[in-house]
Amino acid sequence: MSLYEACGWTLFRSLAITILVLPICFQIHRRLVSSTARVRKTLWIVLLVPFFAPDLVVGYSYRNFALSLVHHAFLNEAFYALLVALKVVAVGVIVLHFAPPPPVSSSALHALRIAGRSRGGVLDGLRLTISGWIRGPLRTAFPAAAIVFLLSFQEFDLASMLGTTSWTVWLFDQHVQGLMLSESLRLCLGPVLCEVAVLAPLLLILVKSWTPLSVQRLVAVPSQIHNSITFWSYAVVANVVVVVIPITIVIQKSLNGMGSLVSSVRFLRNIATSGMFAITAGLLVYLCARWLAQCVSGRKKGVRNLFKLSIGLLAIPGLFGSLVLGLALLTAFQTWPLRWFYDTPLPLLVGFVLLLLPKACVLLFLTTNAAPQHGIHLGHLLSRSPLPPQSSAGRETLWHLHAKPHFWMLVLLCYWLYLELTVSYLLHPTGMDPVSIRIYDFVHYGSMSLLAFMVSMTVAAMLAVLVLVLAIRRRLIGWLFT
Amino acid sequence: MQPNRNRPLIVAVACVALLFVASLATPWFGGANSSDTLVVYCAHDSIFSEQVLQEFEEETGIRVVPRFDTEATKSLGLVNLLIREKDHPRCDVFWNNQVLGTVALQEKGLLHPYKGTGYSRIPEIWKDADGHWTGFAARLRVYIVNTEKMPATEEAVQQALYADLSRMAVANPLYGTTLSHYSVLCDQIGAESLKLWHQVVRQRGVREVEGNATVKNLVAEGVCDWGWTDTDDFFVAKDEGKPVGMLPIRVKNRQTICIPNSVAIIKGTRKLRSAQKLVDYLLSADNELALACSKSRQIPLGPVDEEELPDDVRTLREWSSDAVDLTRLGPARRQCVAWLMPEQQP
Repeated sequence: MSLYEACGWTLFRSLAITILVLPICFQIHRRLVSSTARVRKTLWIVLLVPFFAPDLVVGYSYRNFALSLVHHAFLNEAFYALLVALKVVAVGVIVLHFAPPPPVSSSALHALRIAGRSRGGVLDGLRLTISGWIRGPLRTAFPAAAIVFLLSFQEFDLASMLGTTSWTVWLFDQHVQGLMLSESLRLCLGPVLCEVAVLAPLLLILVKSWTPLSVQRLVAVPSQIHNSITFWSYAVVANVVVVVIPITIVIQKSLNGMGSLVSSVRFLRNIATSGMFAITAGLLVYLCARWLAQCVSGRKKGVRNLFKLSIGLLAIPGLFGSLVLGLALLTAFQTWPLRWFYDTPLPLLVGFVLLLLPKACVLLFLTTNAAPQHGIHLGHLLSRSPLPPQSSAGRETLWHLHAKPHFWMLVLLCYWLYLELTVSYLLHPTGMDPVSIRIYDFVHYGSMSLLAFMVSMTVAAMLAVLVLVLAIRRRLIGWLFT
Repeated sequence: MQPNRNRPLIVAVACVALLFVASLATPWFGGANSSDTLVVYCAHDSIFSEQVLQEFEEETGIRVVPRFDTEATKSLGLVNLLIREKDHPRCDVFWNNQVLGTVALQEKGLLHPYKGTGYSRIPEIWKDADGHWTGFAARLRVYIVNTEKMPATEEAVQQALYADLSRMAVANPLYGTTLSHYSVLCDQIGAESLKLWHQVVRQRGVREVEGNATVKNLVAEGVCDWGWTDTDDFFVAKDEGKPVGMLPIRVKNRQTICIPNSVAIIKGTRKLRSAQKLVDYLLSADNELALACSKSRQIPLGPVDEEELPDDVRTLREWSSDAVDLTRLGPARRQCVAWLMPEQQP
């Protein structure tokens, strides 16, 4: 299969996923907003777990199943599309939740429909209705559809491990096999144009109509029974298929593979390398996002616009996905004067930062806008109290209202980077192989118990660090806020 | 947002970030960039080769930083990477899992000749006369058969060749030992006949997958009945208790296809002595014997203590005595790559 065929097929599949997923996102979102704050929190967790399930684990667990479908390529493609769809629904719902409200409300749309009818002309009525839809519900739907499409179109890990057709896998394999870098980059152009066609209107809508979260009002819409059915059907299927089955498979096989790897110092080094890169780049990308946010908030309008433009420019490379970004950076770091830094940790750090900067900016925006400023102020006052119980309560308040969201944002950024594969593969320096590369290479040997144990160790190491940081968080709070 | 309140948080995060940047730089300076570390590009399965490199490190104290190939682009990826890096080589020693890619590097003048202690114990047929590369620890191309679906006999395989070929699995012929296999066929039956055969076999539905390990998985799980693979992959399935059997693939004059690993020093290395030590270590009788006794059951090419060889390897050694001479297949390999490569272009 050629690149053009692979790209065409990926485009078709991503569009199909988008069209199928979007109505589900609307129904799930409706169920979410109709619930009370406490229930909503639980629903969000149920919804988000499949999205955060590591692709490496999911891909590894279903690799044998995908191989068994070698005589039924279409079924394998359908299964892959199902996995991707189950993973991206949560993102669609998030975007719908935080998308700017459309300028034409549903009541205005209704009024337009009546006005069209009263004018008598069918064409007039149709024109008004269409324009109302474009400026109304479609404006909300488009960002969600665009993000879902982009995620499906850029997906690499699952496609590679399940052996399905995708432009990302095609190009990655060709590059790794020895295609000249300039040629790889040239071949990216077609897929990039497809992405631009979606990204350009998306950015335009966001720039023109994004309202800070604090200004938005969550409109409670009464949920209907089919919204609940859709939500719970999705939640059960997604959590079973993307979370429960893969974890069960990995744990089962890990038990057999235990011991065979204990002596492998190199593998532990891989885990440490991944952890170091993930934490360093996670912190850096967090700092970048914070710095950019500071720049935007406290300046004159002209300067602010300049900074907004800079954020846009810095965020754009990451929006094109890890493969395009990795190849572009590889080219940059093989060209003078950056060639001096080729085969050092710098290209990978830069790649990680650029890849996650758009996500970090969005997360920071949500975190900052959702923070209760009065509560934080009171927390600060309380933390300075000379009475130890009061200052301790103040620090705890600050943790919950201020530091905790930022902490979890950092955790999320590091988590994404820890298991990132494509940028790692293309940009890692010799001798510093991240663990995702190691697992990816091993996956091709088949679904072995040793590999299952490696996957378990990788996830366990990540959880161990998280538990450790949570355990010392009280000391951290004291240090940061006093 | 109140900057004065956020400052401690930001300062703390920045300090930790700096700390981590520093700790990332430390292993880099002490790693592949260090003057006493050997960078080894290794196309042989990491699952087997890593142990060998680790033992070399323990024995000599020389640190080795390996870079492995993916199974999907086996050996061709590293060969092309070495060609791309020819002006600024990062690699010191290339451990290839076959010979023809190494011959291609030799033809491009990228290898440094070395005839050490290991070189002298390997028979002439498995090494370059000028010492640019040396073969060791071979494996055979074999038919892997799911014994629950068909018997592992030549007759059964012959019958299967004329039956439904969607039950047969082969790896992508552009890579790894399947490329060597195609080069042998190209040399023996001619490029045009091979192309025609390849086309017919594809039309008849043969399952072309990404690597020999995948072929092994498909046959072992009974998804396909039989296929082409290497002996080391076959033994992985056998050791896992899968219902598999094998028999050697025989070509013209009943010759077998025996594909050794090959090792070569990259021209321009600044760690020549360490590189030579590694080459001697890999070519030593001890290492060949260790690889023969390992799970991959590699066939020793030089003299080793026969008593210590496992039974499986003794059989393989017998078959390998009928092997095709691969050293003169460079032109056939080039022809195959030139023909197969455009099939995968946009």
